[in-house]
Amino acid sequence: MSELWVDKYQPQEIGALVGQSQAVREILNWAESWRKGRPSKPALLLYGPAGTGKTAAAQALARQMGWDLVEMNASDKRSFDVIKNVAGTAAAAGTIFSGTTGKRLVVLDEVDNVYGVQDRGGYRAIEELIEDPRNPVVLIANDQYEIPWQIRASCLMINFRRVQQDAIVGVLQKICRAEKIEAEPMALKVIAETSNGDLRSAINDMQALAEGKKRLAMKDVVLYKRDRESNIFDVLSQLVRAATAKQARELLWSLDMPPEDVLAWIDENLPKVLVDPADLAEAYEAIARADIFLGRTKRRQAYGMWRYASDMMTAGVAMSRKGELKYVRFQLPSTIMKMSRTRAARATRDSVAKKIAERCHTSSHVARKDFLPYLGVIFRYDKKTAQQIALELDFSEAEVNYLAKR
Amino acid sequence: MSLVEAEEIWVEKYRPKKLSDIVGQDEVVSRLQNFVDKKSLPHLLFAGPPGSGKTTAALCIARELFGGEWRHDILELNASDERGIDTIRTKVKDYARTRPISDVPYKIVYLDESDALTSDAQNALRRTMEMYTNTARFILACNYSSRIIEPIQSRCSIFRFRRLVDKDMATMLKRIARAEKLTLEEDAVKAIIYMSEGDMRRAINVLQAAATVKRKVDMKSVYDVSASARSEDVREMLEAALAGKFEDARSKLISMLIDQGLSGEDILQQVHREILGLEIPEPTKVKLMDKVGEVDFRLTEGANERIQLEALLAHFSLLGDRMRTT
Repeated sequence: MSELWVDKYQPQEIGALVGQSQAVREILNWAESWRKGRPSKPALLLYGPAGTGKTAAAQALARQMGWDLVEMNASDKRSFDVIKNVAGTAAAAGTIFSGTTGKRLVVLDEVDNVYGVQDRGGYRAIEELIEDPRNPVVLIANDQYEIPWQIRASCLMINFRRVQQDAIVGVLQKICRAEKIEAEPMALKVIAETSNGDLRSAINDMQALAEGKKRLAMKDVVLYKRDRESNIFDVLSQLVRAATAKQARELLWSLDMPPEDVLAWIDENLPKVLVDPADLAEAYEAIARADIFLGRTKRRQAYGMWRYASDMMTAGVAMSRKGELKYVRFQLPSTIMKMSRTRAARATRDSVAKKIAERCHTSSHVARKDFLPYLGVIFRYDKKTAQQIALELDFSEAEVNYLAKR
Repeated sequence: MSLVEAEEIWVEKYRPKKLSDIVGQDEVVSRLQNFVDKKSLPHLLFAGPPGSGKTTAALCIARELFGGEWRHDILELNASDERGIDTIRTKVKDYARTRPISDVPYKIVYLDESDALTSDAQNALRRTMEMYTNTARFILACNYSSRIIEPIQSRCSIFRFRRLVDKDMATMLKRIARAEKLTLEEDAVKAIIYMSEGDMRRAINVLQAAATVKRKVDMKSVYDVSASARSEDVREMLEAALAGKFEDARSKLISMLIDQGLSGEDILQQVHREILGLEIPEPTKVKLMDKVGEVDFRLTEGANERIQLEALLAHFSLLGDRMRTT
């Protein structure tokens, strides 16, 4: 691959940014106000999903304003030292960088994931940086709620939205013309759709598919879609926000995970994100239906049933949501952790049940349900009988303790 | 299967040793007695609720047919504990290969909870039954005969065990109290019967636990025992859900499934019992019972217990929310 198309076709001026006209206006106003001195909000916080143009906007802005650009990644230790440095030396007169205005635009990426966040030192360094009267600062983040309010309070908040499909198709067409590639309109549409508003990934995808070719056909794209992986966290977060059944349904295409596992993830996290009990009940009914279809798939080896399971766990869940969402960190399905944490206790329980089942002509399930609770009472109240039973059924010390503590 | 009965556990200690000692199943018993007397036994299918005497009847038949060495000539299997039809087949094969010890020309294979087998497994079972029909008689036990495939039903004599009525339960409980020299108050008998819902095994377990607390068993000791044995988890779970604390309700559910090893059906049964006592409008109770029935059906079809029960809890949460806002 020669040059990345995302770099090659990056907007040179901030006005050329696609699909973010509102954001662009606000950024320009803010930049203009720096000419008159320090504005009341000395920093910008650009937030929104990946690939919507936040970094490109910051870079184009520096170019357009004639500011020097200092780019750092807040999540890495090296940058963190630089932040402190930049903040520390800012009071010194002049600038080591060239440029007539003498200003540097400090761009800090991944501010929702700051290095040194445990001791909060990371955020203190950023606050110092913002307080520096000389330097305009741009913070970039995906999730604004991960950033402390003290920092948000000194920022002008600017929201970057997912880029509309038509706008993405427009950009792709322009690139195709420049690269002399003849593309089927449907192919571009599918790429745009798959990207889910992420312009960068759409351009990257198209480059991977079409570079060096003269034609880009629909069939190339369909195959490619299945290969592209995304992670479960992205899928969950997009799932509860999906606006159409189609959008929700297509999320699974790019996920390489068995449907049972996907369902477990959705199950675990639903009550954490959904606020309205009506939404929760409806969404749960949808995944309960998905579960039924999965069961049918398995029992009858009818793999065609899988598609209905997927429908219900994606579109079914997405369309259940009418009310608000809570912002949360998605969590690993708890059953897995709980199973490993309680392994020892369950093993003891099951060995007790097995011994009872063998001596009392019944199944371990019945032993667990109809004997263990009552044996528990006996073991708590009547040590003598307990001892005799333990002797007769050959209970180990661990098993006796288990019963006595039930 | 062990060759010694547990005598410290009353369920075993007082399990009837002769068919004629079985209470509450007179018609079944007299027909079975007939087979035993003629020493000719067809394949049998026992259908009936838990604790109604199916296993006891099978053991009595073996005792009476085979005499002193009866233990060697009956193979007890439990479909829910064996790992699939292949293990069952192997065990039956190994067992039926050797000659019976008694002078009766066949052995007995008792397969409990045979409705836990899928219909594919039941078909395999049918072939096994045919293969060893000269050397083994099968007694299959299940809760509902309708869950057993037709070809097996048609090869068996079917016996329906009734849910035990109060009178028969009382007879048995008093028999045990006399033998153990307990004072058993009439109220206590009623309480035990009420709580065990026709399940003799459960009734005897309650009695034994109550007797360890106090030798004079009265109504209060029965309720105390069952309160401490039967946890309040299910009710607390439902109340949390109704109060809008869905995640609390859910962690209770998961703990019951994982820590206590209860099945989804066990929990549903308790949910069903609790509904009538909840402080919710009467018509709502009916809707909920319907919902519980639907979930129960889904579980019998093999759905995931956790997800289905969570969906039910989400429904409770929604109802609770509506009650608060209107």
